Amino acid sequence: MIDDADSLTVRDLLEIGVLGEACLLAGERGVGTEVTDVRLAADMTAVEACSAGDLVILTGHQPYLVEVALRRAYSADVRAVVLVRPTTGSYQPPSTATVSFANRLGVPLLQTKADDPLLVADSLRTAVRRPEVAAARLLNAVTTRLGRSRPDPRSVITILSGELHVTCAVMSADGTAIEGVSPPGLPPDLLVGSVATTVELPEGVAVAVPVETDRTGHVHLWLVSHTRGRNKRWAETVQQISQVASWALGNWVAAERLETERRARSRGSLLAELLAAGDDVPPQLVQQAVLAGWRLDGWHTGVYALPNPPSPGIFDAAHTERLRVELSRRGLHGQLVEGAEGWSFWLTNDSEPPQSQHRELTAKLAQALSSGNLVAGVGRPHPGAAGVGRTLAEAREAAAMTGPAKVVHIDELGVRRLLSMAAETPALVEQATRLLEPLAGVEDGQLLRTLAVYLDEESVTSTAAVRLKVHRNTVAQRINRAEQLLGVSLLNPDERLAVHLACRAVRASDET
Amino acid sequence: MHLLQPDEVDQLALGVVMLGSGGGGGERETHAFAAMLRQEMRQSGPVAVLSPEEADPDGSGARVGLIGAPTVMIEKLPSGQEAEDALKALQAHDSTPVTAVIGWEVGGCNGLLPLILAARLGLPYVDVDGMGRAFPRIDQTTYDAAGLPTIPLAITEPGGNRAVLDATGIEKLARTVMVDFGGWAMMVAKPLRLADALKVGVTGSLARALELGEIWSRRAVSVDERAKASGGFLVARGKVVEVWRESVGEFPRGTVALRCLDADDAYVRLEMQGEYLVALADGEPLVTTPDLLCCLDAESGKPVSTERLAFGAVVDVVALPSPARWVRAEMLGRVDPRAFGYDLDYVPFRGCP
Repeated sequence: MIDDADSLTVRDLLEIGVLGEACLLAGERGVGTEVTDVRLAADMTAVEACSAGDLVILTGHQPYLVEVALRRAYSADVRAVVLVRPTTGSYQPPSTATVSFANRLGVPLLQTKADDPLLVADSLRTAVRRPEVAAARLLNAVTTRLGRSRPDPRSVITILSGELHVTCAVMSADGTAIEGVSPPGLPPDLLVGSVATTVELPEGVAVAVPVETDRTGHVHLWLVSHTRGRNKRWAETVQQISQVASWALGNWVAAERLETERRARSRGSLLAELLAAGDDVPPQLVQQAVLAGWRLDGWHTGVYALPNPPSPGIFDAAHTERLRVELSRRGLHGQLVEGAEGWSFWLTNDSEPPQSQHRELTAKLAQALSSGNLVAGVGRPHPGAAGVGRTLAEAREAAAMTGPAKVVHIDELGVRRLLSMAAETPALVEQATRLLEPLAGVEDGQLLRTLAVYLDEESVTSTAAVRLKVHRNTVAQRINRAEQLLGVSLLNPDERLAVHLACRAVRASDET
Repeated sequence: MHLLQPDEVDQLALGVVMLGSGGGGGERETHAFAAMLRQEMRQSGPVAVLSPEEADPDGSGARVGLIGAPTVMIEKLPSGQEAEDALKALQAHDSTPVTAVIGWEVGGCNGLLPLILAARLGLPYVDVDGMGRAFPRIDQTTYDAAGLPTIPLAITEPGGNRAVLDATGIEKLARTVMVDFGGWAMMVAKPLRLADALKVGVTGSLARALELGEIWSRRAVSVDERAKASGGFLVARGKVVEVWRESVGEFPRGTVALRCLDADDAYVRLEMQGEYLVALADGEPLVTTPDLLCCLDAESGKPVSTERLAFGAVVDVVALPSPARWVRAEMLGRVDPRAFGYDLDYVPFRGCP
């Protein structure tokens, strides 16, 4: 249960670390009671002045004094007795008899280490009476330390765990702890959202704040803090301070990413490593990928683009940037990595994309690539870190089979292979040439070109007209003439298929 | 008048040790003085002990006491001359004739020293002393509380060294000299007019010591009943589970936890300096100084001094009431727990709880 009460219990005080290096010596029975005020007692008169709900800090530690104080604390319903062990000088820790007595009374007996009991009293009293001031002090301490050190995950975790007494981890969205230790029993769906979340764990509370969010609202990196305290207000404080620390981390991510961008080539090798890792992606690779701004969870759809005909000179940053701009102008925001022979590009969705997406994607890609001499292959969507490799492998396979088309999806490969086989069969090519003979040389080959485009465009006059940049009626007239010259009717499916196949075969043989 | 016989000495020794409240010299040291007293009595005859009414009020009484650690006497033996030497040294300054010896501190070995001096000088002992028990400091006497003088004070040691101190802050001075004299020394203070001493002192304390000695030598009677017969009660029978001592400040101090044998998980804590000063149970003070606390070995029945109480010992803790003179608001400040640095008030002596 997250404790909704505003007051802190003795346990809260122990857990949120305001007592410093404190330990509970005895009286565990009473740690659940709420503390409403803190008093510093130098003598018995001060102990006697305490009232119900107080926590007493004893400056003396003689055994008799502790025992008398415990007894008076018990009768006055005081919530706990705190002993302050000086860092130097003699100190006798409470004996068996004292501990046994405190246990019998059920009055928590705590021991902390400090030079000045007054400081202990001050920090405790602030935590109890003015929690917002305590939170502000902590925030102050954290920001001061963050400002002084380089805010990388390690130092941020050190600072947070030092000041807030929490255990921290910087985690990627797929739950890999890049730095620090993931709290035990962390629910897997905690890192799915995009806003700071507090969740209850078997031991305390975990607070997750997003470190870096991309423009789709997906969070790449989380800062997860695990505190043993269950007090609601304390959880809020931890969340606020973690939030500040997350900005420092975001800063670090940005700086690192800039550095990574500068070493764009390293992205190529990172991708190669990622592809080579297969299904088992090690955490340091995940960290590098996250730093590179790559999202590894979700469903990935890979695209592989390469120049056709091959032109090795164009793999430079300028071309890559131009391609990136072309892609993003068409709403394709993904990761673009240049390689030795082509560009790997992939898009990531939260869930499995519908079938319809692939047609849309193919169309957009065709538009993006229309200006250059690039062709591209598209892979099927695959989930997870290993999915990046799978979909890109498929895309690469598809890209190798583009032929005359700009963009080929892996699923179309079967059809295209059949067609490419047709183009490579001499007998078929011969037959096709013969079939289309009547059109050869007619109107400078215009009639044949129109026929091929018309059939490619599913016999739709208007679409073909747009592609050919002529009027619709012109296309209709040319098709009519071609039908007459060839002596076929394109309304007959058999004849239409034969003519279409012949067109393809002739065009393929012309190109090779 | 009571003629103290040599065969009463052992009983008296036990009584003064009981009044020592764990301090003033342990059982062994006191018995060394008891042997000296018997020896002196064999040579000079029994000591006449005068009750307050029998004493001549215009007479003057010398008081003698040992300062320092009685345990050191095992290494540095007394010559037997020290008290007499000190008195002579004092009389060189103040020739008032001494007509009697009076007590200074009846508890512990200082309870026997005046009798030895009385036997040597052939003077009677008037049954009055300044404490009615044992206390560590020179100013913790009813004489002092009433403003009777302690100075000039003569201090001697077995080697024949002597010093006559006439200064304020006598406590510190005497202790400094005592350390230089080798760990213990004999003191004789300015003789008091008997009328004054009897008016402010604790009278009948030797008789009380004899009474306690008689009661506590009845080994067949249970501790509980002996405690009741002495006007006190048995606090607890317990085993020492924790002893902690430190030597900071003027006197060594320590704390002892006893696990009670008759109850589960119940503890009694004894706070001690030279003497047992406070007994607490469950954080509640039960017995506080100037009331007396004695630890008696459960097996031998012998009193155990604060220096000798050790881990594992099984003891009976017995509380006895303070001499009535101390339990008055104007007197308590000198001897209550606060006077010994404890943040506790005096708890009036209750009967059997």
